[in-house]
Amino acid sequence: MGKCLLITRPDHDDVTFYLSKWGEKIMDEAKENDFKILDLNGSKANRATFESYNSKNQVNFIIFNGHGDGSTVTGYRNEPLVQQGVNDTTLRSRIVYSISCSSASGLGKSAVASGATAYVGYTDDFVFFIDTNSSATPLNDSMARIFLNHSQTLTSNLLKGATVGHAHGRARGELERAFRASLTQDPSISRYLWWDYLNFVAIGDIDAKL
Amino acid sequence: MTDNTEGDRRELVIARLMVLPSNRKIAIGNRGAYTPKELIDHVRKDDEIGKKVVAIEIAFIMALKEGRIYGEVSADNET
Repeated sequence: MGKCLLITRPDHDDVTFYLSKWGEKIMDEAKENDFKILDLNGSKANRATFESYNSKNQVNFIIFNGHGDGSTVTGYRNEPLVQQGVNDTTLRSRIVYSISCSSASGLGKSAVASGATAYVGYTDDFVFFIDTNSSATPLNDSMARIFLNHSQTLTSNLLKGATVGHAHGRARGELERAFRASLTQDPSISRYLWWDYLNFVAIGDIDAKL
Repeated sequence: MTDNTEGDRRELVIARLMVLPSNRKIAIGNRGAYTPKELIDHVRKDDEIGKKVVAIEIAFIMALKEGRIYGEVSADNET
């Protein structure tokens, strides 16, 4: 049976607009790897639609783009989509990647304890830079690319069949390379790359694959 | 921790933010992306966003101090 990716792409502010556009690259690669794609873009990134699509399809891989905190990932206009202790069981049997602040610190752990296969995310705020000269075309923003490349590396490796552990390791290596390059090329961004590198984690079955 | 130490840390962070190009915004936290000037205001107010920016700087400084970034440098000059 073919594999299925569910991706949330709210776009209601600068940050989510960027993540939404970068999510298009992930979807392109998922298509190339014959994944069925459930794209919850814009206002479709709400809890009711998420739960409906997630329960009615054999979803293997969930990518949350958006805001969050230790116990929550949010969607359009910051509506909570999944909350620790409320509906984290909806992530059961899925590999999850959450590009949102802090959710790996609480929700990620509870989701895995409740049956999620693995949860990759950040244990504190995920930080990235935007070049305002490119803000209308996020995919051309070379400053944002420095911070977001690792997420592409993670998803690309997973979509091609790598284990969670291998994909996370490759992505973390990408972040480290970006950090080390910044030390000589652009030290003003180094501390922020280091922060993301420290907080980027994989929880659960790291030998799992899509 | 003394007020002086916290104040010094805020001033260090403000100095770092002041050299950022004005065409950059930093996406941090759940409230969007901020210009360097906006972040300086947050640091001066010592609010949630300001505290986060300071925490990021301190994490980097600690890593430098602990040798996690450049590694231990041998001072052995014996021949």
